[in-house]
Amino acid sequence: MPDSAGSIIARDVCKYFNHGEVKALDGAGLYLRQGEIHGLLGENGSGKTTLVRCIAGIIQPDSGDIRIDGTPAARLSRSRRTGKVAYIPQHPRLVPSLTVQEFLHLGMDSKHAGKDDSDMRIRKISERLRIDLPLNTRGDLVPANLVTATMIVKALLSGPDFLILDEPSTSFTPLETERLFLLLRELAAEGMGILIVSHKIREVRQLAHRLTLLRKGKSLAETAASDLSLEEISRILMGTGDTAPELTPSCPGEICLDVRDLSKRSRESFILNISFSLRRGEILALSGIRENGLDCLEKILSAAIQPDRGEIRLTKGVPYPREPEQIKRSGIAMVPSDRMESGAALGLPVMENATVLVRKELSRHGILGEKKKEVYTRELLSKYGIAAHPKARTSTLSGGMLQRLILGREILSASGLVILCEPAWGLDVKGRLEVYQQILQLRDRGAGILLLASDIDEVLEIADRLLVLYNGEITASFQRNQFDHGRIGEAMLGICGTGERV
Amino acid sequence: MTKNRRIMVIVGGILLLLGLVLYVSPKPLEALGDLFTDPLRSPFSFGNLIATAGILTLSGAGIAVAMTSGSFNLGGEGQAYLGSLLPVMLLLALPGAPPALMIPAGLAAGAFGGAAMGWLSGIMREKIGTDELISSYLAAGAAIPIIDYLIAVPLRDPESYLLSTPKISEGFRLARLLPPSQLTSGILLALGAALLWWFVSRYTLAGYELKISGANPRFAALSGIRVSLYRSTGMTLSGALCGLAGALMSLGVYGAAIQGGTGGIGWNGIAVALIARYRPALILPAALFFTYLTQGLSAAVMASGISSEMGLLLQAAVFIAITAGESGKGE
Repeated sequence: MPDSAGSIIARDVCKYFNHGEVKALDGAGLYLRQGEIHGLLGENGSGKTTLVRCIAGIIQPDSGDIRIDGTPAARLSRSRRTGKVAYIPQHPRLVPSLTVQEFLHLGMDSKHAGKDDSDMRIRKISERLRIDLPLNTRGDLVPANLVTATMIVKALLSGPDFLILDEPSTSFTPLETERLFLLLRELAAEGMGILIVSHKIREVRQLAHRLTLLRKGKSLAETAASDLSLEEISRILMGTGDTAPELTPSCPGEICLDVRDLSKRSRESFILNISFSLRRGEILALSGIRENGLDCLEKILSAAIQPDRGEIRLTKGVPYPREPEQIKRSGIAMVPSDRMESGAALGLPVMENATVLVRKELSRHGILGEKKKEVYTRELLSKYGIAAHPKARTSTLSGGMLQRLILGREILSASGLVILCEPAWGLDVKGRLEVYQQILQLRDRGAGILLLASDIDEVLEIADRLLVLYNGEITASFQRNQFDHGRIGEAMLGICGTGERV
Repeated sequence: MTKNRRIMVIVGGILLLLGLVLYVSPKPLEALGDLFTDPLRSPFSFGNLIATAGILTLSGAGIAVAMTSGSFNLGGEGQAYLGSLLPVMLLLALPGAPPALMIPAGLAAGAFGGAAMGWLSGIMREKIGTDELISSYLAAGAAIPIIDYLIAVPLRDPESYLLSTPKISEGFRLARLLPPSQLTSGILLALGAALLWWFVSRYTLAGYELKISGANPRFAALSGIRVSLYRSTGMTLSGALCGLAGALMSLGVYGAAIQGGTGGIGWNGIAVALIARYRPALILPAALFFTYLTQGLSAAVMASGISSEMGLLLQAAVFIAITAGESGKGE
């Protein structure tokens, strides 16, 4: 038995959902020491989140042994446990009605320390993270990346021995991710034990000292990060060597989205004189750092805000809808980047979420039968490899499975214009390839597909054309045969020497 | 939440009640006997049980409709009160008209009164962003004293020793099914409304869109559902059902609008909806359970020396235990 002081040891942990129907964990384990960064890798639905939730004490495992500093975790009081182990969930939430500052003050020991002293500690930690927190903003108005940053600061305020982060970089820009990783390295050097859950193999392999690989709820291997190559890790996690789809050349048809001289200055970001057009049978990617105008464009396309100048037209000059309700009714398929919040009703059964776009087709004379919804949902679930029962609550789905459900639903019923924002967020390699296949089939059926993505890796494999957005303007344009990772990256960062200037 | 857990919670609530009654009552066995057998002891009390449960089914369904659509109706009390007064005013004004026409018209007037109040709160939210929870509560708070005044002064029956309007003519009253109990043909209306709500929410496109709007408005809007329409319709329907519950009180139980005669319908409707967790199929059983317990407790209070305050306290303890147990996170 390994030395148990200063460590978290989990062995043979099993956890079942839906009365044993779904095996989330089936003999998982890991060994986390103080002073190290430990990566937990696995594909969507492999049980990563369930395992760390068991370790953090959010849920109870059905069997298995979890020891914190040698003491069985179940014997620790809740306050002892949360004092030792801080956990940052994948999609954290703040208290909607409290400002970030008030939220951070919650649970701080005000007996010994005054308010000023607390504020000082908050400032010290957020300075170490080097991300400015919007201290006076209400919780429900804080963007996702700053919510995660706030949670990290909050976790560190309690001075834990162990820090568990579930996919912390999902909502971060590359720069923020870099800063976070820098801080994590410092903290580990100071003796904290850090467990980071991710499906971004490359990222975690560079950061972590050791890795635990999880597949179908079982721990397969525990190794030093440098012992395995990326390819080896990927083979272990996936079982097979999936490859990227071969691209057939596109055959563009009529214009289905035409954007002319679009300008908008919103609170967070702006765009300036953006023009592009998208044809049926083509995949066009718009890429850039989100704050450089991508999120502004997304908001305009989801009709959340109206542009200051310029116009958007659909096929045959039809004006673009100005109300969110009108988008789907105009036959546009749209997956927003905040789809975890606005892409599903988590409290309702899976089948209610799966059928929302085809509700009219499934109903007759206003009657919408349960059976029809269930049949349609089963088809969707099997097509996208989603392990869930149509009647299960949607909130019981793992993050990756929920992403597949939302993307799959939109893609399956789409035909004309399809707008996908951050299409591969939250998906592992396998899920991504499956979604890419579906997108390509959709293109070949004659749909026009617009991808808005801040991570170029996510779109290079399938885009026919790529436009780079920098500082609110389209600064570069690449055809598929000109794609070059380095040059596109430089364009995104505003370093010149790009493809053809626009 | 699983079925087993729900049953456990309800059984636990009843056991808690038993323990409390045994503890506080000087004559525990008699109290327990009354508690459980009184509602079934005579056709009279059984009829009353069913009648009250029917009325609470209506207001409970009303609260649940609003909740499902994503709004909160705290004005059930006022809506029911107005719903009890309007039909009486209509029927008093036209004493000679044919009952076959006037009874449905009276019920419709009751539903209309409640619906108007609900609609007002709903439309204020959509147009100017007023919180419907507050506005429905305040609207009810304003309506109740006004209706109190109307019944006590301009509409009062001088002959009556109660603060009440004159009685409507016997022909306009809902048919009694189990005299002398309060059970009237209104129960059919309550059953029908509960059944209709269950059907609409489970098997229709409108019910589906209503559920999605309530569960996640942004998601619903992005899916092409007109959220504001459904939300205000939910408030309106909720008011209509509460108003209808009030109309059943005045047209069925009293034959007149009585000051304070509908007290409790709105609040108890919230309790019923909470116990049923807003599930359409559970509203009716929840209303029965609630009424059974209330009626049994009041009998136990009378018979066995438990003070009436203690009776209310027991009732509150049990309902808190049940709602807390039900809403606990079901992992």
